Amino acid sequence: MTDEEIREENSLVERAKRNPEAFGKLYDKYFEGIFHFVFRRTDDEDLAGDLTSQTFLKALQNIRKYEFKGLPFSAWLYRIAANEVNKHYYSKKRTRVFSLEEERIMEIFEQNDHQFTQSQIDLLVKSLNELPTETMEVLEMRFFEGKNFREISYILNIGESGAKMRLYRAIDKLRKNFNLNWEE
Amino acid sequence: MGRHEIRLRRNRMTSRRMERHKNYQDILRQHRQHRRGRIVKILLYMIALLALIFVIYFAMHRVSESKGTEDTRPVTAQIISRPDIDFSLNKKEDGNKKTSATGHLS
Repeated sequence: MTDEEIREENSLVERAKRNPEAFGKLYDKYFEGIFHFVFRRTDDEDLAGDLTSQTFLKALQNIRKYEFKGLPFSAWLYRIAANEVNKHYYSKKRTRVFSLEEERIMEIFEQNDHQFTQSQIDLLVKSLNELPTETMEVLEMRFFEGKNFREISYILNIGESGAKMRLYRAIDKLRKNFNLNWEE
Repeated sequence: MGRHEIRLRRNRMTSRRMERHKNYQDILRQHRQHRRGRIVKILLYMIALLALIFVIYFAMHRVSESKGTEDTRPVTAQIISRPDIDFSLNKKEDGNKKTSATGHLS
């Protein structure tokens, strides 16, 4: 998103602060992104639908408190969504889930479908399972959501250097076994 | 550190499937309901606060009223005002300088 687009979007947000009907455009624009994000972290379609609705409801209720920080509005929505997912896991005391698309995994690890053997898939899942959850969150935001470090640090409420450090450590570990198709 | 489970998924979530969960009107309805609830709550708090202020005001008013009706003359004068008793005020000679009032029926 360019700076111009971000500023334009912010004028829409300012309108939505005064008129909830205007928020509908932001809802239409970001619904799928937020749904994908929540679904990747729950692997449950109905739950993802509920948490996505909850995210937008919270956003609508608190939009007056939103302050423009030079980031896309979606960063604020992702932050609310991440909190909603965290709250869900905290209250249900369940093991966190990261449901990742195989197709995207192939792209990241530079493999074609037929080249990726079952043992490699098992090794990959094992490697990702061994990573700390906090690191997995950063990895997922960077590789699957395509967020930059500034957005990741805002969404996960951590320092930018902390986010980078987590990701580089994860990449170092994964590069021991896989050919990772990623450059900063 | 935390515990998590990695699941690999072959199918991407399609827009059509996501559309099923999309309902902005419902979110708007919930938002309006929540806002109404908040307004009612604020009104109730204000009523409770006003009631508390009134209670404090009337309590203070009554206290000041009862103080106003009390005899403001000095205690000794009140005691002496009984005509059938002969009062005499003496200063105690024992050094603590306290004033004592003794009365005798005349």
